[in-house]
Amino acid sequence: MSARAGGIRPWVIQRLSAIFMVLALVLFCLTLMFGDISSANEWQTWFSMPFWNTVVIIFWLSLFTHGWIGIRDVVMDYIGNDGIRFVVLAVFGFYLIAMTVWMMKIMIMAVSA
Amino acid sequence: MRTSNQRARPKYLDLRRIKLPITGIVSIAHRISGVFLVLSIPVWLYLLELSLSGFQGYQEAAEITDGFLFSILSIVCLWALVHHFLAGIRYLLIDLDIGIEKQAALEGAKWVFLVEGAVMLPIIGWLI
Repeated sequence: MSARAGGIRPWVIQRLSAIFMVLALVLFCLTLMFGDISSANEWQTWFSMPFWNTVVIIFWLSLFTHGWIGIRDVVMDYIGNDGIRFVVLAVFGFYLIAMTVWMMKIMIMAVSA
Repeated sequence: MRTSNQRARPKYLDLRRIKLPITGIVSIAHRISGVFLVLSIPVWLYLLELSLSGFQGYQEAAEITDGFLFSILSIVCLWALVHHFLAGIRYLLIDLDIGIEKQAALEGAKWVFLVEGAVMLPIIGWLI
């Protein structure tokens, strides 16, 4: 990403979220390989466990944040026109907020099932 | 006076005027795969919601993921993810000052594509 675009904080967030997602993906793959999840019931139970539920929520939030910083950098690099840039960033911003709300709805459904 | 060598410096990147070395290809592919993965999020949220909505939804999600169209989509997404993942690890190493000399940077970029091929070929074979 472009360091000049937004200072050190997005740069750090981008790396921390990346590292968290790598770890979470490894855990998730291990669970799928050795966790013996083979039915709707076991799948739901796994997502409703407080630990995994939290990991999954943080994974999605990391993904959305990581995606936002990445998109922001790409848009700032390639779109020179201020108006178009604003519109594209706004669209992506609302898109990611919508994804966040949807994800929370799914995860709440998973806990209460 | 301005000669042909002193063209106005571009303020933004002009994609048509850039010739990329392999490190640049890894970089632009990192960006393209990243944008693609962000755009694919609704697909995965939809499947997650369906699969968690009860027995019937779980069956429906299983049927969708068994389909041919989904294999194609998952190959493309996995490819994007594997590239983004490997190139991302390369950037993390570069942050740690590993692989920043010119030769090492070129080697690192080659390794990204080598590992990418080694990971993707069996997966493609398995999914098709």
